[in-house]
Amino acid sequence: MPRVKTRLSGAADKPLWVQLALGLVVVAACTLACLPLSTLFPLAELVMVYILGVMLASLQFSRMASAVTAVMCAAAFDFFFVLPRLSFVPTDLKHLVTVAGLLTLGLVISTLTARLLHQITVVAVEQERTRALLALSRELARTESIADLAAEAAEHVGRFFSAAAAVFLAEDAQPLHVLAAAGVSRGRAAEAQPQLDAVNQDVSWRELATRAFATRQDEDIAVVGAPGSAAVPLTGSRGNLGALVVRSDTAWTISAEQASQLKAFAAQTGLAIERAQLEVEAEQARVAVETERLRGALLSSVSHDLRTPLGAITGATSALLDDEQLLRSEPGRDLLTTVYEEAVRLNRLVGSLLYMTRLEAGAVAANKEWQPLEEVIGAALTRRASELAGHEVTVKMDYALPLMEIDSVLIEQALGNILDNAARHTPTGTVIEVEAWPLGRGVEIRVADRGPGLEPGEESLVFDKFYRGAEGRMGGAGLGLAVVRGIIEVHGGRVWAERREGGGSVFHVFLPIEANPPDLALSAAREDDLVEGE
Amino acid sequence: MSGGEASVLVVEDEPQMLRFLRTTLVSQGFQVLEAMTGKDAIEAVAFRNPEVILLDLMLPDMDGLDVIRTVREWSHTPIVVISARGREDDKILALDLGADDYLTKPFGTGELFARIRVSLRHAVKAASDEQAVFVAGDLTVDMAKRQVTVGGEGIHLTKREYRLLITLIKHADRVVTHRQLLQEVWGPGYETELPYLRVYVGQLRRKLEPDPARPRLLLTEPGVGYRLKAE
Repeated sequence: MPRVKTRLSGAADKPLWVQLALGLVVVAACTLACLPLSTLFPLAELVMVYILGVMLASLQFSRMASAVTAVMCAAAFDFFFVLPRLSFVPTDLKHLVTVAGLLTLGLVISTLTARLLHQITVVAVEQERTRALLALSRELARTESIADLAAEAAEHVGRFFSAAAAVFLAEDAQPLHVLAAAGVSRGRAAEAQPQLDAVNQDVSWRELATRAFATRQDEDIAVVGAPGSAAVPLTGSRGNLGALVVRSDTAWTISAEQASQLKAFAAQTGLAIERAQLEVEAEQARVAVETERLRGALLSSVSHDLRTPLGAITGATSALLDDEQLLRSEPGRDLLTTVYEEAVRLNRLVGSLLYMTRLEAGAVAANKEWQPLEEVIGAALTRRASELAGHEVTVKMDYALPLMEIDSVLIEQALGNILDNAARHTPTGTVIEVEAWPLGRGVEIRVADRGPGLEPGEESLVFDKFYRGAEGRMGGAGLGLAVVRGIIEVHGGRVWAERREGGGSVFHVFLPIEANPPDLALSAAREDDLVEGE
Repeated sequence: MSGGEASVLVVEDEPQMLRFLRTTLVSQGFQVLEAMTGKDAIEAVAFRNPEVILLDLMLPDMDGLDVIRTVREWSHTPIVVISARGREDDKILALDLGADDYLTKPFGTGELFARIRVSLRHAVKAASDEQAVFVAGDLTVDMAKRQVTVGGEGIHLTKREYRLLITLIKHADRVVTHRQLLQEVWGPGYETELPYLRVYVGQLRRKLEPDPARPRLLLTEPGVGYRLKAE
């Protein structure tokens, strides 16, 4: 239990006879100090020395010991200094008054000092309790998860009572169970599991917790179990949430103040846990609503985008199957071209959907390797060659670009999607410019076109899922650029779009270089000899 | 093109895909053998001796990779793997196990016939001698004289670049995995030194390609390897 020591009450804990012996020493010291002075000063002045001794004694000793010391001082003064010396019976009446004064003064001083010391102790205990509550509430405020909150509470309460403490919680899914414990097992304090195991093995913990959990909130007393143990309910605004149990090795019985302190701890912990529970519930509700909304958007968008090409394919092929002549005619070939194009579109859409799903599930881990960026740009241009066939594509880049640590498959996909987007949104015959230059600690890739350009405010919207430009269907499902953003973010980079001066738009991709590229210069220098015959 | 009665074993368990492959291959004059399980495929290779194998990696009874492993124990018949995009690791594994090339679903007939044609050619070439002069577009490589010219102009290559080029020529029109290239050009122990390979391919492109950013000769197969385009 909390032991509050004030700095002044040094010897008050010692046994009475020791204090009395020390009191005798004080009396002797005062008497010795007065002996040389007695010839120089009148008696009234010598009294001051004794009063000083009584004051010092009362600061150090218990109330009883200091009172006895005061009486001894009065007696010593009377015996040694009041005429006739070495006799207790004064001859002069005024000397009798001096002795009585000293005695009264000594007793009053010792009483007052003892009372003062008691008050200091009370204040200090109060302060300690307030401090402990404050410390706990500070910790709880900066803790978020329910398990951590419980652990903090157990830790603080255990420390405050110099005992073992455990927090029990009852939840919808689980009946009353121990959530955190501190100081139970003698093992390392940092390991939570042994503590929980120790509580689980001893049924008396749970019994006490169950009893406390069942008490009504307004009962301001602790439930007491075996000697040295006590429990209170964890109170929340919606009733009891669990229980807080304290157990000491000593046969301690909880006092009324300690019980109210324990209640205060429990109330604080209960509020914090309730707050955390509400936050979890609110978050779950928010996620559920958002998921529902996205699912709705996804379903309507996907079903439309999947059905449109399927509709075209079904229609065209059924026409070709119905009419044998059609297959060999010019309109027949048009229908076949439609089937092919729509199938390609469908494939791209399914690919984007898969990418998007995997990116959102966090299932795409970038398989980063050091490589020249030009190769990835080249691969993207080659694979989108048919989509870009109607446009003039120019490539400008610094061939001394540093090696980049990137996932070539993902970045190729991202650049391909940007190129694809540019090709589909700009008139045939216009120029698409691809550039790559070093920028700070990284490389910036720019894809600029001379299409209709972005609407004002559309610059960031284009990277949102299912966002489509004004011309609608031309833009596909509105997933391509969302995939780009996902991929670039996996690489710790940034992608943004701008309206271009003179018409069109520019897409920027910034990829950072985070580590130091491998040094390939050494091996290259070693084999810089030419082939024979050249 | 015409298959010239060359026999192709199609290992595919999806009826629609099988019908598409059968129809187009037969129309081009190939003789088509079919297997819908890995077990049937291995039996067909053993007893019916196809000239090319088209192998889907997703089979009902066993992993397509195990089919490659088993077939490669006793047969050099070219294997072209059919795989879905996004499964680059499967492709690399298949190639490293001895598959000759791959097709990514969905693919067109042009791509399909090109792969079969190249595989057949390589199977024939493996039996005969290596050619002495390689020509692809502007590029001419005289292997006897170790001479490289582009549009009639001599090109200086370092030993390493030359070996890289020769290795790609040996596998012309077929994909070569990063690992295979590192092993053949740099030797064992360098299989993981991908950046070296990429930097050398970049250098080679700058010497051989008119527009290195849009290569027409040294093509990148993202995540898998490189392909020297000769056709």
